[in-house]
Amino acid sequence: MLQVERLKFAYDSSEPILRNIHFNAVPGEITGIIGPNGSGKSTLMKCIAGLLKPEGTIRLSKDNTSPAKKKRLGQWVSYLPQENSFRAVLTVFETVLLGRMQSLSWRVGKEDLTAVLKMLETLGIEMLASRFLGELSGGQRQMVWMAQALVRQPMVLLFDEPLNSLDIRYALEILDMVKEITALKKIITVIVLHDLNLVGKYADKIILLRDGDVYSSGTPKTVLTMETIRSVYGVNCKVANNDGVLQITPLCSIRPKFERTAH
Amino acid sequence: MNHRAENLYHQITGRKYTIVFSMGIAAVLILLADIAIGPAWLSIDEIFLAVFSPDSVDPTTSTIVWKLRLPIALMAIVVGASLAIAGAEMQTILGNPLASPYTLGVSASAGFGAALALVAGVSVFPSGKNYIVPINAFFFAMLTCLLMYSVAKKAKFSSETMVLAGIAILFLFQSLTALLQYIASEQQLQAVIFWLFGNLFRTTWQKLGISSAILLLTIPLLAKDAWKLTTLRLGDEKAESLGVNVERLRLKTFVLVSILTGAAVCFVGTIGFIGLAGPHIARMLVGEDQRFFLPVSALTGAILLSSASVLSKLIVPGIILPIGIITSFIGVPFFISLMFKKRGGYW
Repeated sequence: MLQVERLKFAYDSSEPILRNIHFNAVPGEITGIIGPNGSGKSTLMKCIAGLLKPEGTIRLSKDNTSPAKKKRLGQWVSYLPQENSFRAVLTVFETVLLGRMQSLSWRVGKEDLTAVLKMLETLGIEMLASRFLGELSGGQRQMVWMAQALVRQPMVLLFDEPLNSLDIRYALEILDMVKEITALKKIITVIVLHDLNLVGKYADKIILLRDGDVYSSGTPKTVLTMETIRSVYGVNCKVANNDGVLQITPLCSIRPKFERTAH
Repeated sequence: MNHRAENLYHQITGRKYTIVFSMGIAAVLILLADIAIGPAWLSIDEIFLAVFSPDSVDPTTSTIVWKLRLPIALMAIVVGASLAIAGAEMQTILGNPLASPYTLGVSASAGFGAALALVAGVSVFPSGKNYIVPINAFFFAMLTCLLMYSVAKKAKFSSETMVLAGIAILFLFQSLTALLQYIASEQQLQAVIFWLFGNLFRTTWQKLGISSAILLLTIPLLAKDAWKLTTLRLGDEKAESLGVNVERLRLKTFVLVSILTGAAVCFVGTIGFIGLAGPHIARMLVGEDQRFFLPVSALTGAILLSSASVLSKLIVPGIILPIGIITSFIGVPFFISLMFKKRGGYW
């Protein structure tokens, strides 16, 4: 289980970005992080990934009983940032191989090679193995980053807005894949998404952030209500339940028009 | 699964090994041509005999090979490799396709250091007469590297800021050198201009030894971080999340390439283009897996400078042109032809 307790973070001496974050995420489930722009979602992901040093506790227990040492947390976590550079002149195979950084030596071992091919096959992109990153479409590249994140066999997967610039087909395919692998490999997946309909469909649990604090958390049904969306996003919407899947239809912003134009 | 994975990997790397091997052979052949060509042409047999059994050839041939041609030809290989490696790693750690010892102002500052010694007789460190110029050049090269690193760190390694800062430093040192040239006597001016052209004539076995030792010490240290440096091209966040200490890696690599650059330019003067084009040609040939990118950059630089050395003796028979003038003639057509051929994009 991933336990985040009393997490606080501020860049230098500026206003804190995260004020008091706490939540638990369990293996085999997807935890969706949502919230308006600037609410601290990406900062939270970077803190969990070990890229920032927050106050508070981030604990990973392997079997719900034995907490792993904090300093070793990084080796169990795979993080997929919002922006991924694809300017490197590397083939897909080489890029995914980099996910095994910890075990790579000058001469690449058979185990690493096999793990890469297996991952490419699992995600159905083995035919891209010898293509260069620069030759791929946005969706194909996202698959490659996923393969790189998964080839480490992590306990925790962190995805920060993985659907940026993807069409709806790729978005659904990637989320289906994440859902399947999370359940199959008993991974703790934490994913930042902007699309409330997609997070409602795929997340088992949602953490809604506002101004660096947890505003609400729980199942999609309990978090994604008309009242919370209005209160946090300032948007009037309709929430319908279609055979167990939430459907959110935004209607209008509640901010007066003059206030919007004044900005 | 094991075999299929290995086959796929060998399919990707096999071509790269062939390129490394072919370029190694090409570098040796050009080195031999560089030794053979000159006012007195030598045969391959004569070269081999002079090198491996100096007593069996006439003293003139032995002197030509050992005192004149061999140190200069080897210096072309060493300096070419050093500049290309320095350019490759500067481009990698700064994430900037325009980074090279020349474009970041390192060569210009070395030129200023040399001019300071040649015109004003100022030595930044007390040293023997023969070493005032290279030591001054080395000192200013290192000073610029330090300045560039501070700027880079402050600007969070933004490409645009780095290029602007590099150009500013280039102009600053060019102006300072021009000022020294303005107050120099005719004889001093000639010496400064000759240094700034970049040439290998001043090579001695001792200078070759210093440059080679630094190159040979630097390569394994960079090779040790090959995977980490490759990861850096995926972005800082990605590299850090994969367990790379980005800050430490950048600093370590920058120190190594600064010393490498300083040791290369201080003895031979300003040689542009190789540090910029060498890595780009290597990138087009083998990509950015540093296990191949590093040696192929070195070999590209060595081949380019060695070819320039050969050409500098052939363009005007009987006259050896400064190599710094020739390098671009060799590299630019090859560089541009590769740019248009290759698929995929680079930066």
